[in-house]
Amino acid sequence: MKKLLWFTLSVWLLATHSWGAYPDVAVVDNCTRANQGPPLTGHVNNGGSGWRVAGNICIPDSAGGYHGTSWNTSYGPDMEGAITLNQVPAVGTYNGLFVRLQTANNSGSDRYELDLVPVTGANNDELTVWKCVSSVSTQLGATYSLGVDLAVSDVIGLRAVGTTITPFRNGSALATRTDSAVSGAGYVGFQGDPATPQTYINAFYAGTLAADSSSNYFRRRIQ
Amino acid sequence: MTYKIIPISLLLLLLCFTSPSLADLSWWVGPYDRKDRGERKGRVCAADRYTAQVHAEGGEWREVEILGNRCIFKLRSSAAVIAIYAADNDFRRLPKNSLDTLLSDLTNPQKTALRNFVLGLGYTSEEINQALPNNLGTYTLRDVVRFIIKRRHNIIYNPATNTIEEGVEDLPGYNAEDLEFAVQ
Repeated sequence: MKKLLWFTLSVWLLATHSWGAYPDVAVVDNCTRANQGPPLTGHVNNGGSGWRVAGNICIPDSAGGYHGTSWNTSYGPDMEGAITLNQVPAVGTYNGLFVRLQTANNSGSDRYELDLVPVTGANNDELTVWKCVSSVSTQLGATYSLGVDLAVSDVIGLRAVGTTITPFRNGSALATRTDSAVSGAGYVGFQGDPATPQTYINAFYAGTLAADSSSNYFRRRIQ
Repeated sequence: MTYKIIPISLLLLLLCFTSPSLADLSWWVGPYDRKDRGERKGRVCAADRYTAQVHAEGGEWREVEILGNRCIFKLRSSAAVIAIYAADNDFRRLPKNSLDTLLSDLTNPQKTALRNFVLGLGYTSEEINQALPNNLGTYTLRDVVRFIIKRRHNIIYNPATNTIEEGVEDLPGYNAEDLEFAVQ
């Protein structure tokens, strides 16, 4: 019986592509406080005039530009960032979540990025993963069709562990990408399109994936 | 006995879930398409043109960038989707489906065409002769892919022409086996 248990556990470890909770890091900003900003407390602006709190929601400061914000603590290099959506952005807009952003107040610095891509029609929304190096963004792998639409309360994030980049939504990994272009520690940030409706956010998650966290523990087991 | 049967059954079950029975694995080289997002200058491996068709049948593709501002990708799909890529003149299918297959049955014109294609990516004759000396037919597809994938150039945005271009800085390439295992 013991052999059976060990074998089954081994098969599970080898065959499973992702482990641990998504996200596996804490909320660093729940946007619940008196109106303030920009910048948001604990953040720096990474584009336009940044973000602010309005009615316990984090929102872009104003229309007319690409406004971005970064949580001003460096993590990683094994790290994760995520957001909780409070308002789904308009179809055709650009909405990027950054991890390993090399310079907190510069959304053009090297990074990995997860783009939320609302698409016309029902259940057509997409996610795309990018590496952004020297001001050129290269999509990694195929465009990922969610099969559903982005929704209020969705928790959407991007995990970077070593060279494995994993987007996730509502607790489930969606696909993995492999890339080595951006390897250092960095920041978590977000930048959105000025078109309305804009992305509104309830919570920012950010943090280092600790060596003993589940995501890294299992990674060590298979490499 | 039960100890052996149950784990094997579990393994087979897992394999069934992870490997849809599609007709073919194939290897391709293609260009990058421009894909800007907001103010960002971006590009995507042109394999993405037919992602909807690939995913609709449970297939997948994965790419890495190579010399010549191009991408090499491995595709798991039906024969029908392979035909879609084949009909698009921007893509070149590499001979053989498995990396371990010898290129020994390629005709001389086919071997010359493959060599010229690799030269067209930006490699020199000296590099090819050093890595793959003598008859190309004595090598496997793995040897050719390892060569194609071994280095690349940096990529830059040229604001004067609004184009994304290949730079001249040499960068290390990727591991052919990583790409091989990414899509099975």
